[in-house]
Amino acid sequence: MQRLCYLRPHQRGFAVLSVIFLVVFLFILTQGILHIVCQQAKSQQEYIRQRQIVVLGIDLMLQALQTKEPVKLSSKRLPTILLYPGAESVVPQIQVENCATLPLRAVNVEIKSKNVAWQMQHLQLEPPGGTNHEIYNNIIYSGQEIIGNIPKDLLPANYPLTNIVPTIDTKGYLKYKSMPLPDACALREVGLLSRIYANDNGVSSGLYIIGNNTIIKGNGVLYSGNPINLQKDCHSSGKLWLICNDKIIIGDNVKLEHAFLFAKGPIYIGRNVSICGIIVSAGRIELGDGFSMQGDKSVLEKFSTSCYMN
Amino acid sequence: MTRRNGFLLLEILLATMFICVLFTTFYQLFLQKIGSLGRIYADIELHRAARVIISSVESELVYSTREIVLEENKYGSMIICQNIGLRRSVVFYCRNMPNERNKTAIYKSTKIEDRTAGINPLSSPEVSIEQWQCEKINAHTLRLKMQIKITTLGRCKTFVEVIRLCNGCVI
Repeated sequence: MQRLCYLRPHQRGFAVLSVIFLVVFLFILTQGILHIVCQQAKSQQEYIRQRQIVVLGIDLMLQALQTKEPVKLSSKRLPTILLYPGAESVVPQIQVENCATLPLRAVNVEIKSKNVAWQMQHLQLEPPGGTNHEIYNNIIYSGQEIIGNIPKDLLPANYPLTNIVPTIDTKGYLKYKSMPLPDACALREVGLLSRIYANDNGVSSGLYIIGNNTIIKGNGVLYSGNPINLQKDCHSSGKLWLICNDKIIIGDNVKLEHAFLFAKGPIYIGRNVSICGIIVSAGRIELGDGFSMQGDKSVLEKFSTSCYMN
Repeated sequence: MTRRNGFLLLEILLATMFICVLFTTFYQLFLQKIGSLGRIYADIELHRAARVIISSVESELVYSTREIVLEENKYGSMIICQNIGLRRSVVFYCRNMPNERNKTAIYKSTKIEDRTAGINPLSSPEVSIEQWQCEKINAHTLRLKMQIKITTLGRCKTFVEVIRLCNGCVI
């Protein structure tokens, strides 16, 4: 009784304290929920905006590539677009680069937003000197001599010719490459992804070897400043360009179904090799026994890479 | 001092009792709050699951695919993608989970030539895919429709996405 009497003056604090506890608890709970919801809403908004940027970029790229007169296509900065939710402004831009020395035409679509720049690239590459260069009137051409048994129907009428082999723009290939030269693992697991591959000063520098029995699938342009060695029993079924600033060595029993070989140095071809396409060398060409070749000028058509994120 | 300690204990007990009374009084309100918390959690989970699935499907289809073939199985569409590199093919499909017969999930099967396919689920075990339908709009565009359900709460949402192929076409 004495205790209760003692407590009586403080009883007003009980209700206040309880209510404060309850309010604090509910407040923390509500804040927690709001925080989670806000975070998720932000990531959802970001995701929606990113998808809009991707769709916009892809549409622009496809429209640029489907233009009936692609020669007239030029660099353009399009009006600013507001993306919702968030009212984020983005500036789409189409950039067209022409590199006459390769020759190459690059279509770049870039969309700059507040934080990131989304970039996509598509390249159209011609053989050195251009598709219409007079040297490509020949199925097989050597700047010096062709050694070995060559089917007579492959030789041009006025052989040896005095045409000048076009130069290779080495810096151009290195500038526009999308990937380093693929190693055996990449060729085995993925294949060529319709892109320009070139060696660099890193892992893929030095002699480029495609090992025995490699089956190369897909299309690709492989450029190497150093020798390329395609070892025996390799097989390629896609559109394959081997461009080398040095020599190219083709091993025995290699079969290339749709190939364009261009070397600044000599080209050595092993025994029982079958090639369908065009061979050009500024040096000599040595052919092994059982060599068979079929001319295919369609390999000289512009090489269109896949559209890829840059 | 001794009296003050006793007072504190008694005060806490009374405060706790008071809170319990308040909770009981506002029981419906709390129940609603917990219910809405569950729904918010479910919505967050549904959107997260949809984002993961769509991002994975889209990145494969848009950039890396050369040819797409659409087939049907018991649970919906099978999206068969031939990679640009031709050595790799990917199939997105829906089927029931191995240990839970009443739940379905989206799987991504990646096949590299001369190897067995590697299969990975794209959706989490907390959700079940009620509908997985993909249809061709034109040679370069697909419409993907999926219905995802949170199994514990029964909340369901439908997501529709249009996917434009950049390097490939639909057969």
